[in-house]
Amino acid sequence: MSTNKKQITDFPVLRDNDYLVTFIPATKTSLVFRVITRANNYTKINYGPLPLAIGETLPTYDGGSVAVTETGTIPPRAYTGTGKSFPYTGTWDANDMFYTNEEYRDRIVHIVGETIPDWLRLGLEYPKGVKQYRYQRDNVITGIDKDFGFGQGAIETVQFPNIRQGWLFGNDTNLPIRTGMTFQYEELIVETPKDPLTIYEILTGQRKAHHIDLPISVQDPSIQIALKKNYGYYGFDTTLIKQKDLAVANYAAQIRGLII
Amino acid sequence: MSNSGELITFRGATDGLALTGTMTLTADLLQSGVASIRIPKGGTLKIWGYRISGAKVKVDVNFKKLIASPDVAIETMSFDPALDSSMHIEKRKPIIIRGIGGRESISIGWAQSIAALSYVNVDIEFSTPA
Repeated sequence: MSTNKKQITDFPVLRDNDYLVTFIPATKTSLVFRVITRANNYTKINYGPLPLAIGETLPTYDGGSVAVTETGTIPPRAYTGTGKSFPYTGTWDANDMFYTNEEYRDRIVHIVGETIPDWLRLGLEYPKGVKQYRYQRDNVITGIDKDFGFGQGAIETVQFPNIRQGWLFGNDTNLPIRTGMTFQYEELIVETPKDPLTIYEILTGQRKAHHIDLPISVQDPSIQIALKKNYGYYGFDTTLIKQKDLAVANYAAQIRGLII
Repeated sequence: MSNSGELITFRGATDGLALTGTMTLTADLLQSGVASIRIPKGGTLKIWGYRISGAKVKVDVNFKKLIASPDVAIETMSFDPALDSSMHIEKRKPIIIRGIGGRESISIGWAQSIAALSYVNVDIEFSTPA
Protein backbone atom coordinates (compact mmCIF):
# COMPACT_ATOMS: atom_id res chain seq x y z
CA MET A 1 0.00 0.00 0.00
CA SER A 2 1.31 3.37 -0.90
CA THR A 3 0.54 5.90 1.76
CA ASN A 4 1.98 9.11 0.45
CA LYS A 5 0.83 11.39 -2.29
CA LYS A 6 4.33 11.71 -3.68
CA GLN A 7 4.58 7.93 -4.00
CA ILE A 8 1.26 7.63 -5.81
CA THR A 9 2.20 9.89 -8.69
CA ASP A 10 -0.51 8.55 -11.01
CA PHE A 11 -3.53 6.40 -10.43
CA PRO A 12 -2.29 2.90 -11.30
CA VAL A 13 -4.96 2.00 -13.83
CA LEU A 14 -5.50 -1.71 -14.36
CA ARG A 15 -6.61 -2.88 -17.81
CA ASP A 16 -8.26 -6.04 -19.05
CA ASN A 17 -6.11 -9.13 -18.40
CA ASP A 18 -3.83 -7.31 -15.99
CA TYR A 19 -3.04 -9.12 -12.77
CA LEU A 20 -3.58 -7.65 -9.34
CA VAL A 21 -1.85 -9.07 -6.26
CA THR A 22 -3.02 -8.02 -2.81
CA PHE A 23 -0.58 -9.07 -0.12
CA ILE A 24 -1.59 -9.51 3.50
CA PRO A 25 1.53 -9.12 5.66
CA ALA A 26 -0.08 -10.65 8.76
CA THR A 27 -0.63 -14.02 7.10
CA LYS A 28 2.04 -13.75 4.40
CA THR A 29 -0.59 -14.62 1.85
CA SER A 30 -1.55 -13.00 -1.41
CA LEU A 31 -4.81 -12.94 -3.27
CA VAL A 32 -4.27 -12.97 -7.00
CA PHE A 33 -6.81 -11.63 -9.48
CA ARG A 34 -7.02 -11.34 -13.22
CA VAL A 35 -8.95 -8.32 -14.42
CA ILE A 36 -11.69 -9.51 -16.76
CA THR A 37 -12.85 -5.98 -17.39
CA ARG A 38 -13.60 -2.70 -15.68
CA ALA A 39 -17.10 -1.58 -14.87
CA ASN A 40 -16.39 2.07 -15.55
CA ASN A 41 -14.10 4.46 -17.36
CA TYR A 42 -14.84 7.65 -15.47
CA THR A 43 -13.11 7.01 -12.25
CA LYS A 44 -13.05 10.09 -10.11
CA ILE A 45 -15.38 10.85 -7.24
CA ASN A 46 -15.28 14.36 -5.84
CA TYR A 47 -16.80 13.15 -2.63
CA GLY A 48 -16.92 16.49 -0.83
CA PRO A 49 -16.20 17.15 2.84
CA LEU A 50 -14.94 14.38 5.09
CA PRO A 51 -17.70 12.65 7.06
CA LEU A 52 -17.28 14.73 10.22
CA ALA A 53 -20.56 15.78 11.80
CA ILE A 54 -21.33 18.89 13.82
CA GLY A 55 -21.04 18.13 17.52
CA GLU A 56 -18.87 15.08 16.99
CA THR A 57 -16.01 14.99 19.48
CA LEU A 58 -12.50 14.29 18.27
CA PRO A 59 -9.35 13.67 20.31
CA THR A 60 -6.47 16.11 19.90
CA TYR A 61 -2.69 15.75 19.66
CA ASP A 62 -2.36 17.94 22.74
CA GLY A 63 -4.61 15.74 24.90
CA GLY A 64 -8.28 16.26 25.57
CA SER A 65 -10.88 16.56 22.88
CA VAL A 66 -12.60 19.12 20.71
CA ALA A 67 -15.99 19.28 19.04
CA VAL A 68 -16.56 19.61 15.30
CA THR A 69 -18.39 22.90 14.80
CA GLU A 70 -19.04 22.72 11.07
CA THR A 71 -19.78 19.66 8.95
CA GLY A 72 -16.65 18.37 7.26
CA THR A 73 -14.33 20.64 9.21
CA ILE A 74 -11.49 19.13 11.21
CA PRO A 75 -10.61 21.29 14.21
CA PRO A 76 -7.03 22.38 14.95
CA ARG A 77 -4.79 19.57 16.22
CA ALA A 78 -7.61 17.02 16.03
CA TYR A 79 -7.78 13.52 14.62
CA THR A 80 -10.36 10.81 14.23
CA GLY A 81 -10.04 8.26 17.00
CA THR A 82 -12.14 5.72 15.11
CA GLY A 83 -12.32 4.92 11.43
CA LYS A 84 -14.83 6.66 9.22
CA SER A 85 -16.94 5.36 6.35
CA PHE A 86 -18.14 7.41 3.42
CA PRO A 87 -21.94 7.42 3.17
CA TYR A 88 -23.57 7.63 -0.24
CA THR A 89 -27.27 7.25 -0.95
CA GLY A 90 -28.17 4.39 -3.25
CA THR A 91 -25.10 2.27 -2.71
CA TRP A 92 -25.44 -1.29 -1.36
CA ASP A 93 -24.77 0.09 2.11
CA ALA A 94 -25.77 3.75 2.18
CA ASN A 95 -23.50 4.29 5.21
CA ASP A 96 -20.41 3.00 3.40
CA MET A 97 -20.26 3.58 -0.31
CA PHE A 98 -17.53 0.98 -0.89
CA TYR A 99 -18.96 -1.88 1.15
CA THR A 100 -20.79 -4.83 -0.40
CA ASN A 101 -21.40 -8.47 0.49
CA GLU A 102 -20.33 -11.73 -1.13
CA GLU A 103 -22.94 -11.38 -3.86
CA TYR A 104 -20.48 -8.87 -5.31
CA ARG A 105 -17.55 -11.28 -5.14
CA ASP A 106 -16.87 -10.92 -8.86
CA ARG A 107 -15.86 -7.31 -8.36
CA ILE A 108 -13.41 -5.46 -6.20
CA VAL A 109 -12.81 -1.75 -6.02
CA HIS A 110 -9.29 -0.45 -6.44
CA ILE A 111 -9.17 2.94 -4.74
CA VAL A 112 -6.82 5.85 -4.30
CA GLY A 113 -8.26 8.25 -1.75
CA GLU A 114 -6.87 11.79 -1.60
CA THR A 115 -7.51 14.40 1.05
CA ILE A 116 -7.96 18.12 0.59
CA PRO A 117 -5.71 19.65 1.79
CA ASP A 118 -3.03 17.11 1.03
CA TRP A 119 -1.11 17.52 4.28
CA LEU A 120 -3.82 15.86 6.36
CA ARG A 121 -2.70 12.63 7.94
CA LEU A 122 -4.45 9.64 6.46
CA GLY A 123 -4.68 6.02 7.54
CA LEU A 124 -6.85 2.94 7.29
CA GLU A 125 -8.36 0.50 9.71
CA TYR A 126 -8.54 -2.84 7.95
CA PRO A 127 -11.06 -4.06 9.01
CA LYS A 128 -12.79 -1.06 10.52
CA GLY A 129 -12.10 -0.80 14.23
CA VAL A 130 -8.73 -2.56 14.11
CA LYS A 131 -5.60 -0.43 14.33
CA GLN A 132 -3.10 -2.05 12.03
CA TYR A 133 0.04 0.05 11.96
CA ARG A 134 2.98 -1.44 13.83
CA TYR A 135 6.73 -1.00 14.13
CA GLN A 136 9.09 -3.76 15.24
CA ARG A 137 6.34 -6.35 15.60
CA ASP A 138 4.11 -5.04 18.38
CA ASN A 139 6.72 -2.87 20.14
CA VAL A 140 5.30 0.35 18.80
CA ILE A 141 1.78 0.96 17.62
CA THR A 142 1.93 3.73 15.05
CA GLY A 143 -0.68 5.61 13.07
CA ILE A 144 -2.18 9.02 12.46
CA ASP A 145 -2.27 9.76 16.20
CA LYS A 146 1.40 8.89 16.65
CA ASP A 147 4.69 10.32 15.42
CA PHE A 148 4.86 8.06 12.39
CA GLY A 149 3.10 5.27 10.59
CA PHE A 150 0.63 7.23 8.52
CA GLY A 151 0.24 8.56 5.05
CA GLN A 152 -0.30 12.15 4.09
CA GLY A 153 -2.50 13.15 1.22
CA ALA A 154 -3.20 9.82 -0.45
CA ILE A 155 -3.72 6.13 0.20
CA GLU A 156 -4.11 3.27 -2.24
CA THR A 157 -6.25 0.37 -1.14
CA VAL A 158 -8.55 -2.39 -2.32
CA GLN A 159 -12.10 -2.91 -1.17
CA PHE A 160 -13.21 -6.53 -0.90
CA PRO A 161 -16.79 -7.61 -0.22
CA ASN A 162 -17.62 -8.28 3.44
CA ILE A 163 -14.69 -6.23 4.77
CA ARG A 164 -15.36 -2.77 6.03
CA GLN A 165 -12.51 -0.29 5.98
CA GLY A 166 -12.24 2.61 8.41
CA TRP A 167 -10.62 5.82 7.17
CA LEU A 168 -8.61 7.85 9.68
CA PHE A 169 -7.71 11.52 9.40
CA GLY A 170 -5.53 13.87 11.38
CA ASN A 171 -4.75 17.59 11.33
CA ASP A 172 -1.56 18.40 13.21
CA THR A 173 -1.64 22.09 12.33
CA ASN A 174 -3.37 24.81 14.32
CA LEU A 175 -5.74 25.51 11.42
CA PRO A 176 -9.48 24.70 11.48
CA ILE A 177 -9.59 23.01 8.10
CA ARG A 178 -12.53 22.74 5.72
CA THR A 179 -11.71 19.34 4.35
CA GLY A 180 -12.48 17.47 1.18
CA MET A 181 -11.97 14.01 -0.22
CA THR A 182 -11.59 12.71 -3.73
CA PHE A 183 -11.40 9.11 -4.83
CA GLN A 184 -9.95 7.68 -7.94
CA TYR A 185 -11.28 4.20 -8.30
CA GLU A 186 -11.79 1.26 -10.60
CA GLU A 187 -14.59 -1.21 -10.13
CA LEU A 188 -12.83 -4.28 -11.43
CA ILE A 189 -14.61 -7.42 -12.62
CA VAL A 190 -12.16 -10.11 -11.62
CA GLU A 191 -11.47 -13.80 -11.40
CA THR A 192 -8.71 -15.82 -9.82
CA PRO A 193 -6.31 -17.36 -12.36
CA LYS A 194 -6.88 -21.13 -12.36
CA ASP A 195 -3.40 -22.21 -13.39
CA PRO A 196 -1.16 -22.77 -10.33
CA LEU A 197 1.99 -22.17 -12.37
CA THR A 198 0.62 -18.79 -13.44
CA ILE A 199 -0.01 -17.98 -9.79
CA TYR A 200 3.54 -18.99 -8.96
CA GLU A 201 4.97 -16.86 -11.75
CA ILE A 202 2.93 -13.85 -10.66
CA LEU A 203 3.97 -14.17 -7.03
CA THR A 204 7.62 -14.57 -7.97
CA GLY A 205 7.60 -11.56 -10.27
CA GLN A 206 8.06 -13.52 -13.47
CA ARG A 207 4.74 -12.20 -14.72
CA LYS A 208 3.93 -8.53 -14.50
CA ALA A 209 1.29 -7.62 -11.93
CA HIS A 210 0.24 -4.65 -9.86
CA HIS A 211 1.07 -5.35 -6.22
CA ILE A 212 -0.67 -3.74 -3.28
CA ASP A 213 0.31 -4.45 0.31
CA LEU A 214 -2.82 -4.22 2.40
CA PRO A 215 -2.42 -2.52 5.79
CA ILE A 216 -3.06 -5.73 7.68
CA SER A 217 -0.23 -6.34 10.10
CA VAL A 218 -2.46 -7.82 12.75
CA GLN A 219 -4.36 -10.95 11.87
CA ASP A 220 -8.03 -10.34 12.47
CA PRO A 221 -10.26 -13.42 12.11
CA SER A 222 -12.93 -11.42 10.32
CA ILE A 223 -10.61 -10.90 7.37
CA GLN A 224 -10.04 -14.60 6.81
CA ILE A 225 -13.71 -15.39 7.30
CA ALA A 226 -14.70 -12.74 4.77
CA LEU A 227 -12.14 -13.78 2.18
CA LYS A 228 -13.08 -17.45 2.55
CA LYS A 229 -16.72 -16.53 2.10
CA ASN A 230 -15.94 -14.36 -0.91
CA TYR A 231 -13.44 -16.47 -2.77
CA GLY A 232 -13.14 -19.86 -1.10
CA TYR A 233 -9.63 -19.16 0.13
CA TYR A 234 -7.74 -16.42 1.94
CA GLY A 235 -4.67 -16.15 -0.14
CA PHE A 236 -1.80 -18.10 -1.62
CA ASP A 237 1.01 -18.81 0.81
CA THR A 238 3.94 -16.65 -0.28
CA THR A 239 6.37 -18.36 2.08
CA LEU A 240 6.41 -21.36 -0.28
CA ILE A 241 7.82 -19.59 -3.32
CA LYS A 242 11.37 -20.81 -2.70
CA GLN A 243 10.12 -24.38 -3.23
CA LYS A 244 8.48 -24.27 -6.63
CA ASP A 245 7.05 -27.80 -6.72
CA LEU A 246 5.60 -27.51 -3.23
CA ALA A 247 4.19 -24.06 -3.98
CA VAL A 248 2.56 -25.09 -7.24
CA ALA A 249 1.02 -28.17 -5.60
CA ASN A 250 -0.25 -26.08 -2.72
CA TYR A 251 -1.71 -23.47 -5.06
CA ALA A 252 -3.34 -26.18 -7.18
CA ALA A 253 -5.08 -27.54 -4.08
CA GLN A 254 -6.33 -24.08 -3.18
CA ILE A 255 -7.54 -23.42 -6.70
CA ARG A 256 -9.79 -26.49 -6.48
CA GLY A 257 -11.66 -24.78 -3.64
CA LEU A 258 -12.12 -21.44 -5.36
CA ILE A 259 -15.52 -19.83 -5.69
CA ILE A 260 -14.44 -17.42 -8.44
CA MET B 1 -2.91 13.51 -9.35
CA SER B 2 -0.54 16.31 -8.59
CA ASN B 3 2.89 16.07 -7.02
CA SER B 4 2.96 19.69 -6.01
CA GLY B 5 2.04 20.98 -2.60
CA GLU B 6 -1.15 22.67 -1.62
CA LEU B 7 -1.14 26.36 -2.51
CA ILE B 8 -3.39 28.50 -0.34
CA THR B 9 -3.89 32.24 -0.43
CA PHE B 10 -4.29 33.69 3.05
CA ARG B 11 -5.75 37.14 3.58
CA GLY B 12 -5.10 39.42 6.48
CA ALA B 13 -5.82 43.03 7.37
CA THR B 14 -4.85 45.64 9.90
CA ASP B 15 -7.63 46.53 12.31
CA GLY B 16 -7.61 50.25 11.53
CA LEU B 17 -7.23 51.07 15.24
CA ALA B 18 -3.84 49.91 16.47
CA LEU B 19 -0.45 51.02 15.18
CA THR B 20 0.96 47.51 15.48
CA GLY B 21 -0.49 44.05 15.68
CA THR B 22 -0.74 40.56 14.27
CA MET B 23 -3.15 39.92 11.44
CA THR B 24 -5.96 37.40 11.63
CA LEU B 25 -5.55 35.25 8.54
CA THR B 26 -8.43 33.74 6.61
CA ALA B 27 -8.52 31.46 3.58
CA ASP B 28 -11.03 29.40 1.62
CA LEU B 29 -9.86 26.22 3.38
CA LEU B 30 -10.23 27.70 6.86
CA GLN B 31 -13.40 27.55 8.88
CA SER B 32 -12.32 30.63 10.83
CA GLY B 33 -9.42 33.02 11.05
CA VAL B 34 -6.11 32.24 12.74
CA ALA B 35 -3.35 34.40 14.19
CA SER B 36 -0.57 32.06 13.08
CA ILE B 37 0.04 29.13 10.75
CA ARG B 38 1.65 26.08 12.27
CA ILE B 39 3.63 23.90 9.86
CA PRO B 40 2.81 20.18 9.72
CA LYS B 41 5.59 18.10 11.27
CA GLY B 42 7.99 17.06 8.55
CA GLY B 43 6.39 19.41 6.08
CA THR B 44 7.60 22.56 4.43
CA LEU B 45 5.94 25.90 4.05
CA LYS B 46 6.87 28.09 1.08
CA ILE B 47 5.88 31.70 0.71
CA TRP B 48 5.54 32.52 -2.97
CA GLY B 49 4.03 35.95 -3.09
CA TYR B 50 2.26 38.91 -1.49
CA ARG B 51 -0.23 41.53 -2.51
CA ILE B 52 -0.53 44.54 -0.25
CA SER B 53 -3.05 47.34 -0.61
CA GLY B 54 -4.84 49.98 1.45
CA ALA B 55 -3.04 52.37 3.77
CA LYS B 56 0.68 52.84 4.29
CA VAL B 57 2.03 49.90 6.25
CA LYS B 58 5.11 47.91 7.15
CA VAL B 59 4.45 44.17 7.06
CA ASP B 60 6.60 41.59 8.85
CA VAL B 61 6.53 37.86 8.29
CA ASN B 62 7.35 36.46 11.72
CA PHE B 63 8.65 33.01 12.55
CA LYS B 64 8.46 31.06 15.80
CA LYS B 65 10.47 27.92 16.48
CA LEU B 66 8.32 26.86 19.39
CA ILE B 67 4.89 27.89 20.61
CA ALA B 68 6.41 30.08 23.34
CA SER B 69 9.37 31.34 21.32
CA PRO B 70 9.67 35.04 20.49
CA ASP B 71 8.74 36.21 17.02
CA VAL B 72 11.64 36.59 14.63
CA ALA B 73 11.01 38.66 11.52
CA ILE B 74 12.13 36.76 8.44
CA GLU B 75 10.89 39.21 5.83
CA THR B 76 9.78 42.83 5.95
CA MET B 77 7.92 44.79 3.28
CA SER B 78 6.92 48.42 3.26
CA PHE B 79 3.97 49.63 1.23
CA ASP B 80 3.14 53.24 0.50
CA PRO B 81 0.01 54.01 -1.55
CA ALA B 82 1.56 57.34 -2.50
CA LEU B 83 3.97 55.39 -4.67
CA ASP B 84 1.62 52.76 -6.10
CA SER B 85 -2.00 51.72 -5.68
CA SER B 86 -0.99 48.23 -4.61
CA MET B 87 2.16 46.21 -4.17
CA HIS B 88 2.61 42.82 -5.86
CA ILE B 89 5.53 40.56 -5.05
CA GLU B 90 5.98 37.27 -6.93
CA LYS B 91 8.99 35.26 -5.87
CA ARG B 92 11.10 33.16 -8.18
CA LYS B 93 12.60 31.57 -5.09
CA PRO B 94 10.21 31.23 -2.18
CA ILE B 95 10.95 31.71 1.47
CA ILE B 96 11.15 28.17 2.83
CA ILE B 97 10.29 27.31 6.41
CA ARG B 98 10.56 23.76 7.65
CA GLY B 99 8.31 22.04 10.14
CA ILE B 100 11.01 19.99 11.80
CA GLY B 101 9.43 19.59 15.20
CA GLY B 102 5.86 20.35 14.26
CA ARG B 103 5.78 23.46 16.48
CA GLU B 104 7.13 25.99 14.01
CA SER B 105 4.73 28.68 12.91
CA ILE B 106 4.56 31.95 11.07
CA SER B 107 2.40 35.01 11.52
CA ILE B 108 1.97 38.32 9.74
CA GLY B 109 2.57 41.44 11.78
CA TRP B 110 2.00 45.07 10.88
CA ALA B 111 3.27 48.47 11.91
CA GLN B 112 1.81 51.82 10.84
CA SER B 113 2.58 55.46 11.66
CA ILE B 114 -1.15 56.26 11.34
CA ALA B 115 -3.63 53.50 12.09
CA ALA B 116 -5.68 52.70 9.00
CA LEU B 117 -6.88 49.71 7.04
CA SER B 118 -4.32 47.79 5.00
CA TYR B 119 -4.75 44.42 3.38
CA VAL B 120 -2.30 41.61 2.71
CA ASN B 121 -2.71 38.47 0.62
CA VAL B 122 -0.03 35.83 1.06
CA ASP B 123 0.42 32.83 -1.25
CA ILE B 124 1.64 29.89 0.80
CA GLU B 125 2.42 26.39 -0.37
CA PHE B 126 2.36 23.46 2.05
CA SER B 127 4.44 20.48 1.09
CA THR B 128 4.20 17.17 2.88
CA PRO B 129 7.26 14.99 3.47
CA ALA B 130 8.32 12.65 0.67
